[in-house]
Amino acid sequence: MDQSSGDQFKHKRAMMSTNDMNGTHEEYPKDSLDRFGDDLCGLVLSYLSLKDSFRYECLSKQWRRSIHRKRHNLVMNSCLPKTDHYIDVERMDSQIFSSVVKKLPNITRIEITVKSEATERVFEVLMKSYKHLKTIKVWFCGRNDTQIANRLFETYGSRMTQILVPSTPVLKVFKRYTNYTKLTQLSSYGGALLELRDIFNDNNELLFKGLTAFQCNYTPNDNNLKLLSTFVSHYKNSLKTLDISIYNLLSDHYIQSLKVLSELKALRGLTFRTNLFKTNHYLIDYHCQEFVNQWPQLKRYQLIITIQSVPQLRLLLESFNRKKGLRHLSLLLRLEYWIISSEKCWDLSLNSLSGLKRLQHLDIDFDSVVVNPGFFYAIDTYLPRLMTLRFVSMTEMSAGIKESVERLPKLAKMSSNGQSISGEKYAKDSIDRYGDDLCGLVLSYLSFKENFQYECLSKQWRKSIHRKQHILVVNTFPSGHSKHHYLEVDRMVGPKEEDRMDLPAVKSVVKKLPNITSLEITVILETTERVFEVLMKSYKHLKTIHRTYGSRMTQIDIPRYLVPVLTRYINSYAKLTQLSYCGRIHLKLNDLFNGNHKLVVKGLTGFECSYYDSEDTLDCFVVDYHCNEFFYQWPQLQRYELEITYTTVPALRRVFESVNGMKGLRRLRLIFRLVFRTSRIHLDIDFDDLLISESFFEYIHIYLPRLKTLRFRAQLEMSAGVKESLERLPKLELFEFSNDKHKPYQIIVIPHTY
Amino acid sequence: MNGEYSLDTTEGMAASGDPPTNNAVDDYDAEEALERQREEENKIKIKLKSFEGGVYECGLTAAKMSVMVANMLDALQETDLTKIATREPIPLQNDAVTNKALEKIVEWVDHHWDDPPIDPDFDDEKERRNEELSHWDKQFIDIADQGELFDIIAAANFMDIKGLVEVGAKHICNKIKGKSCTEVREMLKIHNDFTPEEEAAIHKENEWIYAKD
Repeated sequence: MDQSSGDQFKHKRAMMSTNDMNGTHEEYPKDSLDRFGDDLCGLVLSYLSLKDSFRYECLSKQWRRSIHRKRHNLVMNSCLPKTDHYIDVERMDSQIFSSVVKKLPNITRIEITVKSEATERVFEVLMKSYKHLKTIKVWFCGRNDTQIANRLFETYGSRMTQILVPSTPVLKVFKRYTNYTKLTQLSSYGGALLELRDIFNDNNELLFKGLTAFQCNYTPNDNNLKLLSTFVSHYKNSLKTLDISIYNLLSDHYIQSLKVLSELKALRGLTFRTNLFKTNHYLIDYHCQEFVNQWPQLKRYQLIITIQSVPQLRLLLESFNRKKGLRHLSLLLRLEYWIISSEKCWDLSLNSLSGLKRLQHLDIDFDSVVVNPGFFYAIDTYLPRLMTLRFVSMTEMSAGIKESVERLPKLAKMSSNGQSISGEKYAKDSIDRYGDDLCGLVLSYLSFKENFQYECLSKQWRKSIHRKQHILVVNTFPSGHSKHHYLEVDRMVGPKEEDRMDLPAVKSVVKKLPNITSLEITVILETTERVFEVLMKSYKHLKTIHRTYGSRMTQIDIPRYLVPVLTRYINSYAKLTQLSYCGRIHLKLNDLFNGNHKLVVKGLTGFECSYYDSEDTLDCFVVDYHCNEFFYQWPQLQRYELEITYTTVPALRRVFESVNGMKGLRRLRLIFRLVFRTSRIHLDIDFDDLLISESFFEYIHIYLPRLKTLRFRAQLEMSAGVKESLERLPKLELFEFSNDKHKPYQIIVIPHTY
Repeated sequence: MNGEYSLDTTEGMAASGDPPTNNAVDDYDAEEALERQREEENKIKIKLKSFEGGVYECGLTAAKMSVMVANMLDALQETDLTKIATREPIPLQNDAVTNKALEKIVEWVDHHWDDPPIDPDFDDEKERRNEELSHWDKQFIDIADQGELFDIIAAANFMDIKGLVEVGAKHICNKIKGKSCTEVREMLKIHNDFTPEEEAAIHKENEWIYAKD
């Protein structure tokens, strides 16, 4: 969308109120989220994580206005692993927190984990800010915060609707007060369990009358059965969920207790933990034949048991079938240690649960039992509504099982032995978790050819891999770039037809590279010229163009014989900033002037030319001047490149030593005869055929401690002594060496002594 | 929260209005009977007409997932449901209800009409916000043409199909996750109407979300 059309509907938007029911407005592009009214926009964005909702506030005024509007739930701190869905208030400035709260006006539910006094202060802010909360869920953490708990219970106990207590000390504090008029859910977690008697006072009177969910431990005690009866008679028509643990009870007492419990007719969710089946076969029979029939109204059932033998397992599994209305079923099995691990139960199958047509969530933990791979066979017929499935066992996850499970039409989540089988959350170690920007940035460090090679990795890669490419190199001289880094178009005239790159291919490459701002092109043949034309048409906003001709060019490397052509059009090079030569012949200074001795190229920041008409050797006078005066006139130089031919060795030495006067140098290049221009060499000494003594390098690490690359040519044996000297250079990365002027440089590996 | 899911309760489903003393077995049977009735009703096909004029057939129960359509049908006061099938197509007067969008919407309600209703007995069912989308929904909503995607969401919102709006919302928010503001703006084609100063001020205001411990 361009700026002008944006301005156009700025006004429009201010005039519009929510337009959800009127539908969308044509003024907005169809594929822009701007077309949604505030209400729908707020609704869609309410699915963002809490932090993201603040992160994206800045996207537009509409987003800022509506992004928090439909958020009703606020979670502070958490005992769960860090996610973006809650605010960690422990280290948050209270002023910032107040401003956050101000932005969230429609909160009706708060969940807070009390960790420290900081949380307590936050809690107070929340209670003052939100007067109409429907749900306040409070987790208490740790054992040492009884004072905080005390203050919170005393002041705000009457507003809390759900309380989770971790330990007996906090529980004791909790019991000091009786003002919990709104409390509907009470449970404990961690080591200490609430006991049934904890919700009774000393006169055996029930303390809380409005519970709908309760979690407790039921232990052998004569008085307990009486308490249970009191509890059940009060709650038989109102308690919705119960989590009860019954351990170490005598059989009679156990069955009596269960009969009392079965009076809880309003109960829809039951979690039942016991270890009794391991000692008493009679009890498991009772459980499978009687108990399951007494709870036809259950929608959620969780059973956590220890059993003695595998046949019991089958009995249990089949008994569930009678609870036709179940939507959640969870069976967590603990085998007695003496049962051989990896027990095989080939006759078990989900067929046993085929009566549970409404089941949506199934969680089975078989401990170390191994089931038949056919266990899941026809799961989509038996349990057609299953949405989540968790299965733990020693069974190996086969393709067959996966296939059966995947046939479930409504399945959203499936995990087995802790590993998610499906689901698209990106793993921490997957690069897919990156957004396109970061992905593009990372991938921009790939070479040019790899960019195209890896395009196919994923949609995201294809989309982002070229995004941060700003430089395009077309053709090159052999030395400049490695083959992977440039686009070779002169192959279009290569010997083999299939090697040629035709113009459409170049165009398709160019289309993929929208963000090129710098172009480096070596013009070789007419084909390059055509490519060049394509490039000029495609990229209108290039900042630098290297090695080419024309009015948009900023850098030109040109062989001498083309200079007359260059000068012919020299008036048009408005953007030219760097002009240098390539090939063996220099540009001359007077190439910049026209026939009337007027400077024609005026914007240069870099220039390379030869001042002498002929390539004379230096005479003594020049050497003297050069060594005594010239150097001192350039104290500001950082890079210096000297290319001379020499007459006598002493003259050479003097020139060499005189360089020492340029203290600011970072890059030095001495070439004592004409060679090709090369780049990236920090110290490049070409002594041609000169014989150099080994001691030449002896103190190099003292003289040139920062040297990174060294290129050296002279008649010199590469001895251990030389290598040793070079090893002392702490920063040396590259050493190229040649001892024969007809041989190319070779890279010599210098191991670091560090 | 209840208001938000009125869709399910208006269809008279589940135990929401039932007093807790209700015999549980009856509960189950009643639900069963209701389900059979819904199944029968869904065999009756009604016609929906898009803004562009395309007419699409849809099961009655499925069509009623749209609160708007359900209200329109109620307004007809037709006792013989089979007659609905022969009536004129129901026009959906909103430009987001294109042919393509309506076709997709019909596909969605056809898959979801027999979804169990929200269970008021459990708090966590009132809030499906954090639940992941099913594979089917993920595939359904993964639409390459963003304009079409937005049509579907806007149309579903217009037709008051809460579940489908939710699927669209979760899909968009999943795609946004982890992206920079610039990327999100680019992806969703959002016009930045803030001045750079205003935007910088918002970033400053929200610095806390980047806090590390």
